[in-house]
Amino acid sequence: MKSFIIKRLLLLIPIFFGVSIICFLLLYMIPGDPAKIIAGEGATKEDIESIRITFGLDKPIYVQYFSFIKGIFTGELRSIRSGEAIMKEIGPRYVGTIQLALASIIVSSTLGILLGVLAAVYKNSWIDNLAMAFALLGASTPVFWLGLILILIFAVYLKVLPSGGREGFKSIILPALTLGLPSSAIVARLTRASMLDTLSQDYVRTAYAYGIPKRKVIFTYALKNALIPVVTVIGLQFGFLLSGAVLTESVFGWPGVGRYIVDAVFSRDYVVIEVGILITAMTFVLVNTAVDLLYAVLDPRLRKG
Amino acid sequence: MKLRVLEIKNLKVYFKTEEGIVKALENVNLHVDKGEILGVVGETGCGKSVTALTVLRLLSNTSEISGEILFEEKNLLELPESEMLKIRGKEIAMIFQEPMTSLNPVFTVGQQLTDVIMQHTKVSKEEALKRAIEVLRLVKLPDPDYIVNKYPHELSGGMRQRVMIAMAISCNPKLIIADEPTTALDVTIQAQILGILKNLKEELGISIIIITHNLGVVAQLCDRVAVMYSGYVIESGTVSEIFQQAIHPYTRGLLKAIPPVDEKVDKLKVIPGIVPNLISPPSGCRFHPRCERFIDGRCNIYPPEIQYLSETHSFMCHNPYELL
Amino acid sequence: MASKEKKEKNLGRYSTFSVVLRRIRKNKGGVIGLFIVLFYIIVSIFGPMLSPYDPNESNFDESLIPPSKQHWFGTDLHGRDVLSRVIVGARTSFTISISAVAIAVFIGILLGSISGYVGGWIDELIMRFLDIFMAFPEILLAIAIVAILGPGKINIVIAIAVFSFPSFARITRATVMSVKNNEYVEAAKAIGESSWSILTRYILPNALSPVIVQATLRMGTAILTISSLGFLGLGVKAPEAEWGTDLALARSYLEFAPWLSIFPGIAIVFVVLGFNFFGDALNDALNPRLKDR
Repeated sequence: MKSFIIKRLLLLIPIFFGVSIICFLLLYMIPGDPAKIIAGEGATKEDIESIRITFGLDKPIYVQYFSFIKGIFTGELRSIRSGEAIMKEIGPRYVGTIQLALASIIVSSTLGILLGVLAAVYKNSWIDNLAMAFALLGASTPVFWLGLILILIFAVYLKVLPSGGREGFKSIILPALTLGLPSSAIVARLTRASMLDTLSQDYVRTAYAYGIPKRKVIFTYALKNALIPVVTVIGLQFGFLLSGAVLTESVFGWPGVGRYIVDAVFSRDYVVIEVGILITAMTFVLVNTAVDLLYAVLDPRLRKG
Repeated sequence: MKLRVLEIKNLKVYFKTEEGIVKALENVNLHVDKGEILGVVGETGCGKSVTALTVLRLLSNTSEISGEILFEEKNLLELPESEMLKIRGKEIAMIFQEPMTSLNPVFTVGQQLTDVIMQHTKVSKEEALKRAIEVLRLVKLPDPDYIVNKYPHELSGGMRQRVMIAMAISCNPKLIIADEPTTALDVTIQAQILGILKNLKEELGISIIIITHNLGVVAQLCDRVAVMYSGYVIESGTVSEIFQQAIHPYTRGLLKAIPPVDEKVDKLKVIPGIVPNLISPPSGCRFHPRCERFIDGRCNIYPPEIQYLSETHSFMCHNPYELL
Repeated sequence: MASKEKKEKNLGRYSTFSVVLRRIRKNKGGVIGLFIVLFYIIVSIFGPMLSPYDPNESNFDESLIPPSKQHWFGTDLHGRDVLSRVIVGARTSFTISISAVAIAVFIGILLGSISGYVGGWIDELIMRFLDIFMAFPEILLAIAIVAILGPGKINIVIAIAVFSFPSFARITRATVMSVKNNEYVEAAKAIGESSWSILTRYILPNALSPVIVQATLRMGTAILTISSLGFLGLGVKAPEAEWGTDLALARSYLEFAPWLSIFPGIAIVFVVLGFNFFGDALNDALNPRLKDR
């Protein structure tokens, strides 16, 4: 079991390099001279050359790559627009996005699992149909529009929640719902399917045959089995949440990495774009790795290596 | 008069499905006496498993049930669910056919056993664990202290089936229903499992219903036999009555189909025809399309009633063979 | 008997067209979904003819009018009729999404077949390649690509195709791998049929059903992505009518002109729902599973 964990963790290193190389090369994928691109339109030849030297674009690529990596950690790497150290700017924003993602996952998993279990246990009843209709609706709703509508209802008409910003506990409720609801729809569908599959298994019949009451059979015997694939999906939902965070952050003015990246696209701050995407992708990979490890913990059948 | 542990009278079970109503059991009558092993035999689809599941009321709610199932004077079909919970696993325990899938893969053997024990008896966790180890020893599993911490997938099929038997006896049931307990296991393990079951009857006095399609198992193990066909118990009696004095054409056909050990045969004797469709079964006696003793006008119009040849030997047939 | 005919038609490996159609017809959601999708396609094609006003015609006298008889969905800041913009917006999202999904399907099937059929190190290589793409959350990848290539319809098509093709590749690969060891493939090889012919005549038709289902569902995802990019300001260039872009403008006027935020969003939900309903029904129709107990 331990070797399994270590193996998975060691795999992260080559993935980090792979992903960081791609992010680093983003600037070079744009057609044209990087220095010119950074300089922007209407830049003079002198401007372009000075930029080339400032950003070390005259040096060989592998040197640039290593200074890129080094620069992230030492703080030498700076945003093109603001001139501030990247890590200083990204740090608090990253925390903001993680907060949002965590809050959304809590909404998404609790609501999703509950709905899924109910839908499975009361299969084909109105509960099931309602839950699945909700799930389909959730999967079809754009995150940003849901945010707008929630703001309309709760901030504008009911005036109980703030429409943006990041002050106090209340300000995270709407953003978390905006991200969490569509995600919960997907979790609910999968939980229902997994639960139905589990409930038809022989060992559930054995539990009933030995007089275990229905509630215990469902929530203890069946659920532990049914949750195994669901946990995987919740982990993968993290990817959805990271993407959706961009949109939610834009709608609610929530200071996070997503918005930071989008703003950088407009201001052509390629350094920010590269680092932002790198951090996001690595977080995604880390979460997926954690999910894989969790899977092994939950399912004893997988524990031998 | 022997004490009857379980008596099933006129049991009828229909299932509502998309394709129509499946008439699984039409008129099942059988009983088990205290301390005896009853074998229930029949082809696939005859209703053996449905009968077993009906006793413990484990059928889905698409089922329509009528008749009586008397267990110690109580009609199980009329008990409220809360009472049934006390019967399942405690008074009547069931062993299923597939040991590979009948145990929960994410809990250890010990956890599953102690859960059942604590469900039905007021004991502490430690005492439940002790009892679990004790029953594992009773079914002759080596190293029970070690096995309680194992997960089902770490045990072989034969060991898993023994765990199931251990679970079945853990709360001292009066009756065990074993649904094809050895079908999924290979022959050598089969013998061991049957030996364990025989011990249960002899040493612990537990009554057993063993469902099987294997007449050899019946001959080895059982005191009495009930032969089922398409929702009816068409003949039942002691083992010697059925094996030597069968009068129902189907029973005779089954017995003739057993290939003889001591002579060579060119062709195996089969009963012609196929098992009837349960949604639109044949009219009258369901066996009539395949029966050598078919009487037109009677067998295809009137379903047979139960008749008695002796106190122990019953049959349902319009035209049985003469007793030699 | 009727049930006998049904059973005979269900034999054989491919669900015949009529059987599939019957199963879809039974599924209420599927029928609704199909109608929505068809409605969407018709509006996309005939959009400009159906819209009551020119979606780009500004009329500052009529700005920010709430829904009324002349303007069913109201007007926006520039006095443009929202209903017309919503109708014409359908065409925008349709052209982009269908192109993107078509490209993704093509590339995906190509890579997936090669990977699955040839196997070996090529398979490993392609799978790692796909893994890299799947390591990035979808919208982020789209944002990155738009950042590199710049805004505009074609670039959005490329962006969506890029994050969509891995799933088609995986589905195709899985089907190819499970089918290629069947006996009729061996038989075809034995009589000297070319790999290309074997792939296209025997193996790929099996992948058709899951790919079609995935393509339908992907249309929904694509439409969501297009509008998300539009909302972030990375979508089609103004003043072209696009639902997401219009919603971005609506954000500032949420309190005063809520209709600007409501209607384009409903259009998105409506269309995506249609694709999801239909895709689900297709899935059930093409892969009938044993009834749950």
